[in-house]
Amino acid sequence: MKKISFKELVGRHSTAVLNSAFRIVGHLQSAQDIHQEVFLAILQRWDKFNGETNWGAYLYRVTVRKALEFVKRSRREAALGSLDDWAVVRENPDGPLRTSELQQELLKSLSKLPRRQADVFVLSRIEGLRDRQIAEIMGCSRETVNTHLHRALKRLRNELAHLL
Amino acid sequence: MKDHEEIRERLISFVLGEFSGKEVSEITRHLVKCQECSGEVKKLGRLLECAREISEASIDEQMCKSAKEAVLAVAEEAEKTVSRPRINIQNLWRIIMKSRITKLAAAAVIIVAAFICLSQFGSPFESVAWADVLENIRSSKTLTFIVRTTEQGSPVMKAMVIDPNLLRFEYLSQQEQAARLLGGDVLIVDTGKGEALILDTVNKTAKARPADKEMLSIYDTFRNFRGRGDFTVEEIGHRQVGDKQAVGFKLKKDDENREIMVWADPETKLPILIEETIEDREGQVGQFVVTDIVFDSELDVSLFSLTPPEGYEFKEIDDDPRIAAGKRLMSSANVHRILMACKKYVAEHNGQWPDSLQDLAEYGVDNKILVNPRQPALETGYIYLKPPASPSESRIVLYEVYGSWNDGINVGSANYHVEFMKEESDFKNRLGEH
Repeated sequence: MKKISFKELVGRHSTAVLNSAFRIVGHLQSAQDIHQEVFLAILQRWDKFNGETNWGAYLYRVTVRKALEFVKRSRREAALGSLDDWAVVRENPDGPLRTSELQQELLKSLSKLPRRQADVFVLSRIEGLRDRQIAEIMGCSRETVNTHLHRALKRLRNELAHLL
Repeated sequence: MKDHEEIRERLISFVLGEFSGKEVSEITRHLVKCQECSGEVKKLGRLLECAREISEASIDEQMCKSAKEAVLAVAEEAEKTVSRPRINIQNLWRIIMKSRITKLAAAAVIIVAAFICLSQFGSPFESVAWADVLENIRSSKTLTFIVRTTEQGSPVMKAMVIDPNLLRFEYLSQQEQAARLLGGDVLIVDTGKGEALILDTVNKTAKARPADKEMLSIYDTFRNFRGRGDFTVEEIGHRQVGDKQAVGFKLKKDDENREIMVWADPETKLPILIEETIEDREGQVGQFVVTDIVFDSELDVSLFSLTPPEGYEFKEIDDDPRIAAGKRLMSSANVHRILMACKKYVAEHNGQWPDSLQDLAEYGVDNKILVNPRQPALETGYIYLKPPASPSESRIVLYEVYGSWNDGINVGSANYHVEFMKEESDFKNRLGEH
C-alpha cells in the first residue's frame, strides 16, 4: 500500500487528534500542545512508518495516551481545575459545555486508572468508538476490551461515589 | 436475595447495553422493587452521561485549521532539514543553516576524517609520513577550503575555521539565489559563545540565532581526530592534480552509500583534493569536490564577528522553527480568546464593541492572555481597533504588535476568526479599508 505524505496525514487526522486531546484535557492550549507533540513525534520517525500503518488507530491510541498523561501530570498542579477554555472556545449553538465538578473529577480519576482501562474507557465512552474498533486500536480481542471497560467503570464508580 | 446479588453483578453490563430483551426485562423487574440496585443504576448512568457530555466538546473549525497549519509549517521546516539529503550544494548549505550536521561531514569533516582513517589504519604509501601530517593538523589553528558539486551550474562555497570556536561559510557565487532560497549567503558561528549570525549580503540583512550544539562536532573532530575510524582505506595510486602528482586513497564505510577519495601532495603531506560521492535514498548519485584546502593560513578574525556589518538590518530570530511555530500557535489562541470575550461583550452591550481590551477583564481576558508569546517583553502584545457596531466581517479588530514583519502576524477579524497573515502588504491593505 502506498504510504501517504505527512501533509496528507495531518490533513486527514488533525481535527480528530485536536478534538480528542481537547476532550480529555479540557484546555485549548494544552490540546494544541498535545496535537503538535503527536504529529511531530510521528514526523521525527516518519521513515519508520510504512504504507501499512493504520493511522486512525495509531493516532487515537497515541493521542489518548498523551492526553491522559498530561492530565496525570497536571493533576497536582490543579491545572485541570481551569476548564474555562471549554466555555470560551466552544462555539456550540446550544451554549457552552457544562464544566461540572463531576466532569473534572471523572477526568482526574481516569488518569489514575490502569493504562489500558483508561484508554478503553476514553475510546469507548468519550470517543464513542465500537468495541471492534477499540480492539483494533489496542491490539487485543473484543472480550479484553469489554473486560477493561467493565473494570474501568467499576473503579470510576467507586472513586466518584461521593459525587454520584 | 440470591437474585439481588446476581443482578447487582450484572448492572454494569446492563447500563452498557450489553443485554438482550429478555435479560433487560428481568433486570428492570428487579429494579422496580430494589432501591439499592436502582440507585446503583442511576449512579452508573450518571457517570456514563457525564462521559457523554465530555464527548460532545469540540474545538471550532478555525482553531483546528490554525493548529493544522502550525503543524504543517513546522513539518515544512523540518522536511527542508532532515528528510532528504539531496546532493546539491544548496542543500548542503541548507543543512548547515539549519544546524543539522548530518552531511556537513561531507564538506568540513571529511578532510579531517581522511587523515584520521589513514592514521589509524596506517598508510601503505610509505613515502607519505602520516604521523607528520597528523602532527601538522593537530597543531594547525585554521582551516579553509572550497566546496562545490559536480552538478552543472552549482554554486561554490567557501568554509573557514579558526580553532577552536569560529566557523564561517559563505557563497562565492549565486549569492542572490542563496539569499532568496535560504535566507542568507553567509553563516558565521561562534560555538564558544553559542551564537550564530546569518548574513544576506544581497539585501543587507543579518539574523542572529543560537548556535547548535551539533556544530561543535566540527571542532571536536578537528581538534581531537576521533570517532571517524570506522572507514576502510585503500591506496588507489597516483593522479595528476594541477601541477602535482598526487597520492590517492579511497575511504569507505560499509553501511554508507558514500565513498571519499583523498588526493594528497607527497611533499607537503597535506590533501589537495577531496572528492566525495554519495548516493542518496532515492538512488541519486552526486559528488562534492573539496579543493583549495589550506591549513594554518592567516585568517582575518573580523570575518567571524557576530556583530552585523555596518548598514545591515538586524533581526533576532528563533532558532528552532518548532518553538517559533508553537509561539505563533499560542498567540493565535490568545487572539481567539480575546475575540470570544469580545463576542460575549458585544452580545451583552447591544452590539457595541468594548472601548479597550481592559473592558474584557470580566470576560476572562487577564494580563496573561494579553502577553503575546512572540513578544513576551511587552505587557500587552496585541493592538485592538474598536470597530463600529455591526462592522463588516473582514474588518480587522485585533492584531499582534510587531517590530519587523518576519513570517507574518496573527490577526483577528470582526467575524471572531483568527488568521495568520503572511504578507504585510495584504495586512496593510485590509487595515486601510477601514
